[in-house]
Amino acid sequence: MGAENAITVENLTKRYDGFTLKDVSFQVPSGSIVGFIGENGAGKSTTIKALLGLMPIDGGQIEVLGHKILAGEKDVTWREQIGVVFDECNFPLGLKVKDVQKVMKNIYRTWEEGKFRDYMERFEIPLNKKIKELSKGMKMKLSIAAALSHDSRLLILDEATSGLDPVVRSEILDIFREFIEDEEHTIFISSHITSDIEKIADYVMLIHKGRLLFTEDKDKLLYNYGIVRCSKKQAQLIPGDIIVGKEEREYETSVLIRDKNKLEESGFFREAEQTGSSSCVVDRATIEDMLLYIVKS
Amino acid sequence: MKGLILKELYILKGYGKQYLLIFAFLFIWSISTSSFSFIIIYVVLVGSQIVMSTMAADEAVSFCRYALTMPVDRKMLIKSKYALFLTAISGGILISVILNLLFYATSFGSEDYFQWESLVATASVFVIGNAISLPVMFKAGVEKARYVTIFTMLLLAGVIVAGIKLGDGVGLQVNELEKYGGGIISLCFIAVAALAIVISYFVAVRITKNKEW
Repeated sequence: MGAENAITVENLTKRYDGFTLKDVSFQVPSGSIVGFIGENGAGKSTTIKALLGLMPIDGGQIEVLGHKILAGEKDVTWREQIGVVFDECNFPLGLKVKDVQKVMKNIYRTWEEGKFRDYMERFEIPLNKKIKELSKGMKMKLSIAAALSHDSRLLILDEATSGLDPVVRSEILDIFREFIEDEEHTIFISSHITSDIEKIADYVMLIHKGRLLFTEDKDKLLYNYGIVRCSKKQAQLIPGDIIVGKEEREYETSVLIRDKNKLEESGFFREAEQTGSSSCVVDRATIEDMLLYIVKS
Repeated sequence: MKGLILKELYILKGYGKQYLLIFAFLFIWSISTSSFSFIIIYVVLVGSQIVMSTMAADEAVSFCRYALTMPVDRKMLIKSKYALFLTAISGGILISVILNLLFYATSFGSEDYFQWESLVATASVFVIGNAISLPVMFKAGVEKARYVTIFTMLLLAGVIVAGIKLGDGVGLQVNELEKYGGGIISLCFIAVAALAIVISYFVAVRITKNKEW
């Protein structure tokens, strides 16, 4: 387990009735943004809970910022260096924004009052307002400000942009970009909104039914993956080892492939032309396409 | 822990108006009826239930899970709730004592003076009830803990009533116990309540050891 990784997970296993997170292994390199995608119930939140030591695990090892994670551990000082944002604002609704400041100041030794105030000004969140009076976007911004106003080196975000409108999401993504400007900072973000992941992530991890299907460099992923739109007969000519998922309709078959170069080298286009069917095309595959094809398959 | 306690106080600040209004209503009602037992018990009851109220506010936003991502360990989280409980019930008892003295010193309540032993017994029953329900609150949530509190109170009341009936059966009147010294009986109540809350804390720590937050 190397220090160049902000997070290292080896063979993480957690069993529930009807669901198992099985042998999940991955690394999050320091200084990167890793997007964690998967459908509801795929195991994203379970993985994040395990990373944070919020539950006992049935197997495997986890290291966060060089600290071995054990559920219920007494040494919690390392958590000064992580900022966590869940899918909802976790401050009691009756508190005022300025109360949050006072509470956090007495929890984090490294709390930066000025930084928090600056964020509140930037987000136009009045310090005297009660949390219950804030909009959902403002609540999420407050949570993000709290996560960033101490000595955070790693941000762990569990569906932090869900349910927000595109304007607020864009603002939040800008903040993440600013945070990552410091090369020692790292972001691990799980989201349903694959377009957000596509915008900011360096690496993409896909989990499905408790199993990690891949961890790939996002740019390579977008460069290599493609959707072949062709006839059913033509689809049969695609080399099986590059097919990730397939969708068959009455007049068209769409095939998600993992290597566009390999498809070309295989002579597929020449053979496809000889079938006499209409010509086939290869479209760019988005991360959402990848998720959909894999889950449907 | 200071941060967690502060958070509790800010939550309570939000409930302050409600508590004051109810208190004011009961105060006036007590004066008009010259009966103060209820308000004295009520104040202690509110003190004992404050921790459930703040926990309900926490539960609504999964604050405990969030707190455990901060430099806060599980024991500290539980300790802060027990510290709040002890402070709140002590505050409740203190207000009750002041009210009792006030009513006794004025003409309002001279006919309905609340016995100190009764106050100690009442507070002890509330402490024991909460000692049982607090670990349940951490394990299964506030809603179930409230049921456990009610059930425990009923059970304790049942045990006391059954004890009195049994005493009557063997010719031992409750009033006769006073001759053995009301102070000793009160001390017994306090000792049992203190022991119950200490055991409760360790049970809460133990049963949340493997909890998924």
